This record gives sequence, structure tokens and C-alpha cells, in this order.
Amino acid sequence: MSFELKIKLKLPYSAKRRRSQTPQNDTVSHQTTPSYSAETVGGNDDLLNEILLRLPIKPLLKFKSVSKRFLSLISNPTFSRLRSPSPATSSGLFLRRPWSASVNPEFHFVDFDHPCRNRNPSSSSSSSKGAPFRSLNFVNERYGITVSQSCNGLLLCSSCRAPWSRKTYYVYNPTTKQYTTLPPLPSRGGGGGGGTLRAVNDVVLAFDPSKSPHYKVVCVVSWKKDGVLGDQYQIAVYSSEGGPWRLYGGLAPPSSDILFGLVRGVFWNGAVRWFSGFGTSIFFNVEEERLCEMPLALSVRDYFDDVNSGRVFKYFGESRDHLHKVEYVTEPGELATHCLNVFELEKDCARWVLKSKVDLVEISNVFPEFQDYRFYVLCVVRGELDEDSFLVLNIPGKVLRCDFKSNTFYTLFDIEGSDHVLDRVFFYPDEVYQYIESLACV
Amino acid sequence: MSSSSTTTTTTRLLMLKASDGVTFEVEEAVATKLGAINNMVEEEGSEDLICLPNVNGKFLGMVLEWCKKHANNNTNSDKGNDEVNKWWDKEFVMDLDQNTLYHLLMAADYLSGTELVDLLTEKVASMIRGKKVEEIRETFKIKSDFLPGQEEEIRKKNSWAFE
Repeated sequence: MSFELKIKLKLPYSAKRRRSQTPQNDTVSHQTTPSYSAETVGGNDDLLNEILLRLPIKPLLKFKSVSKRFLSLISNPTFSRLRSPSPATSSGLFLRRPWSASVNPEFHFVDFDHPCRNRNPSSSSSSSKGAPFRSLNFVNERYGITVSQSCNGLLLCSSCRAPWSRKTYYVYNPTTKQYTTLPPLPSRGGGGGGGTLRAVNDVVLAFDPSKSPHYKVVCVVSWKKDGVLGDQYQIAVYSSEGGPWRLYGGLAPPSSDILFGLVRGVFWNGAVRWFSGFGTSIFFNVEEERLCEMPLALSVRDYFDDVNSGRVFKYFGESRDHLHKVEYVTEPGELATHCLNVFELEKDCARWVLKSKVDLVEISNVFPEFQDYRFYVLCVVRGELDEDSFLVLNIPGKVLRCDFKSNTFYTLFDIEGSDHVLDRVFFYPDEVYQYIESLACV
Repeated sequence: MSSSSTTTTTTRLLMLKASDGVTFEVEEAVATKLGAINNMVEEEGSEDLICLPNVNGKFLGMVLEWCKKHANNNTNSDKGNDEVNKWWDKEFVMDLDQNTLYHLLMAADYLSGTELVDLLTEKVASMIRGKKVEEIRETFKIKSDFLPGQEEEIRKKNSWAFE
């Protein structure tokens, strides 16, 4: 009994088959003609799966055209889940370049495992090798396409320079380079008479391959209704399984403290959450499609503390279904302290727990350009093992990786010497997106 | 209680009989590295001769050779043995010709030698990863069963993978 369990944990695919199998009752006759051994292996779904699971992405996509059976094995959601078990670990970051001459914004790619000296992304130098993309041109979009969010392997993209009413949204898989165009948002509000669409306040992609191969896009929209003072708010949901936008709620009109936080929602722990600065926060349970209030005033950013206590909010984001925030703590004096405190939110949202500290003084000793402590925290990345986690820090001209466990840091990406004069030395954390390899269909 | 403790401490020998009649005498601790044998020993206990009509002697011998190495290396387990196992596994698959490899894989799968299946599928994957679609069909004796136009469509959709 315990033996079977062990196999099951290790090789879920084969466990089912092996449980009932003993040599006596196996009726499939062993093919002994030498030249057919590969054919027999290839005819065995379980073995073929085991082989395919060990292939890199490129040959996998190529082998989809071998036969219908190969296509169906590789396209199966179970296969993609086994290949990239969730929660998935990100392997790099896309950094949007602050300036670019072309219509489509350009991105630097920072590979966590292969640090490189960057160059201009538009030049096809060796550094561009391995980058899933430099700019997005999967469709010809007159406003250009940019990324607005990354979620467990999929990217939510949208028209870049379009006014909100003309924006088109796309879901793109940077690994397989497949995309889908989302249908336009409903132009009339639901729930008794409607109103006209006034604004799209936030659009959030929710994708958890461990729960479902399908994704949802959750959107906060506001309506203007004749004879009604103030805007009416609703949640619109698109499901890759269920088709067009559906409207939810009755948010209307939300209290000002909720309203304040209805931007930059984050998908974490099964729900899209909007953390407001103070007061009530709300979240939308994606599976049940239910809007809830979080009674606890869980502040991500404590504005009053910022001013008074030498603690400054620096980062907020998700990785491997953990929610992190980073605070910059300074203490003046002869032995000045400059450090980053990395917190994680408990699953029940009860409190922030201190996970790690990064000493910035050490970093400034090594990099003279960092003397004045100007920096951005670009990302907190959780490793498969807790101790493999690290923080990605942007100091002038450089992107560093700071490992928590070993307390060491090194350069991931060097933007000094960029031939593009307009390139600033900093990236905006709001324009940084995690890359997670995934075979998920869009 | 006492009888069960004696059976675990003594080295019991099992006879494994291959399809071509070749028999192997192996220690239980070695043979039970194979899930299928382990199940039979646990379920039927007293049986000392196990017939394996679906594996021939050559490949059963190779599978057992692998089991033996791993069983020996695991008994005095410390970190260095992982390295020894890895090195030995590498040697084991290095010079396998394609035909032996696939036969061995079938034997390992049939006997539920999970770790060995891992090792061999890894080897197969490394051999086929650089192949063309046509070569894959050739290797596995597969005929394309797509309707006219379907294959082109799939290729077009994943065109970057062919670059």
C-alpha cells in the first residue's frame, strides 16, 4: 500500500496504470521482433507521455504535427499541468523599456538563471537569445501592444496607446506564442436599465492551472446612469470556458475607501483582491464568482507610518501564490541602517509575517553608483524551495538578484553602456512582468 | 511478531524466470526494486519462483543488473552514493543502441521499475529532441493521420518552433 502511494507521488501519470498491473494478468504480448520495439513504446500512451514530458518546449510544439495522437497527448491539459507543476516558478522578468521608437513597446528580458550584459533589445545580439519576445507583434495593432499583467504563465495584454474605450484585450502565452483576443466589453450596464459605460477601472487575469485549465478575466467597470448621481460600479467576468462577459453586482456606488483601492487588483489565493490603503478591502472569489468584503483593514501601505517611522513601502506582488510586500527601513546615525524587510501575507489575511531582510549597506559598498540608495524593488520571487527565494533590485544602471538564504547578491542585468541614450537607468516596478514557462492553451 | 522480524533480516532469494526460460536467482532486496515484483512478494509472500512471460532473458538480466547496483548503493546510504548512482546510470545508458533501449524501457515499464523508467525515458527524450517530425514518424513507425491541410495549419500555428 505504502509503496503504491510512493509511486503515485512521484509519477502521477503512471501510478494509475501500475496499480492494477501485475505480470500475470498482463495480456498484452511482448513484442519481440527487434525492429518494432520503438513502435511498441510509441504505441504506449503512458510511456510516450513520460518521454514527451522530458522534452523542451520547441520540440514539443514541433511534434504536435507528427500525428493526431501526438497532438492530443501534447495538447492535453493534464500534460501541461504535469510538465509545469503548480504553483509555477518564474524563470525571468520582462522589463518594459521606458523608451522605444517603434509602435510596440520593447522589453528587456532578464533570465534568472543566465545573467547577461544587456544591450539594445532591438539588436539581435547574443543577449537576445532565449528571450521569449522583445516586443509583441502577434497581431497588427495600430496602437501597439503592451503587457498589463502576468499570471501563472499567461500574460494579459492590451492596446498600448489607445484610449480606454478603444482598448482591445488579449491573453497571450509567451511560451507557446499563442494568443486569443477577448470580446469587447458590454456597452450597457446590467441589473435594471443599465447605463452607459464610463470607464474600465481595472482588468485582472486570473489563472490557476492547478485548479482549472481555463482562465478568467475580471474587470471593474463603471456606468453612468441617467438621473443617478455618481457612477455605478460592476464586475464583469470573461471565462475562457464559458464565453462572453457576464456582469456581477451591485457595487454601486461603493464607499470612497473601497473606490480608492479599485485599481491594480492582484490574483492570489483563489481571488482577485484589491487592497485599499485604509478601511475595507474587497475581493472577488474567482471560482464561485462572488464579491466579498474583507472587514479587516489590512493595509498594504501604511501612509502614516511612511512619514513618521522611517519605513517606506516599496513593493507589493505575488509569486508562487504567496503575496509579498517590501518595506525600506532606514535609521540615520553613524552606523546607518538601510535595509529591506520582506513580508508575506498569511493565507487567512490575518497579518504580514516578516520573511527576510536584505541589507542595502553591503550592496552600496560594492556598487559606488548606489551610494545614495536610489532603487526600485522589481520583484520578489519565490523558489520551489523556500530557501531559493530572492528579490530583484534595480539600482542605477543595474538589475541585481539578492538571495535571501545566503545573503548574497549579483548582477543579473547590466544596462550601463546601453547604446540607447534615452534609456533611463531605472525600470518601473509597475511595468515588470514575471515569465513562467507554460503550455497552457489560451 | 518474531517470524516477521526474521523474514526481514535474512536474505531471501527469489527465482525469476524469463520468457525464454532463462532464470535468475536474485536477492529479494534487489528484485523488489521493481514495483511489480514487490507487489507479488507482498501479496503472495511464499512464492519463490516468479515467471515473467513478457520479458526475455537478455533484457531481464540488464534490468536486474541495474537493480543490483542501485540496491547495493542504497544500503549504505550517504550523500556520496547519489553521485555514484548518477555516474553509474550515465554509464548504463551511454552506449545502448536504440533497439536495446526501447526493449529495456518496455521491460522496465512492465516490471514497474519506476526509477529505471525515468532514466530510460530521459535517454529517449535526449535522443529524439533534435529530430525532425518525419524522423519521429520513422522512429516510432507512425503514419500521419491528419486530414489534408490540418498538418499545415498546426505547423503554421507553431511555426516559430520549426525555425
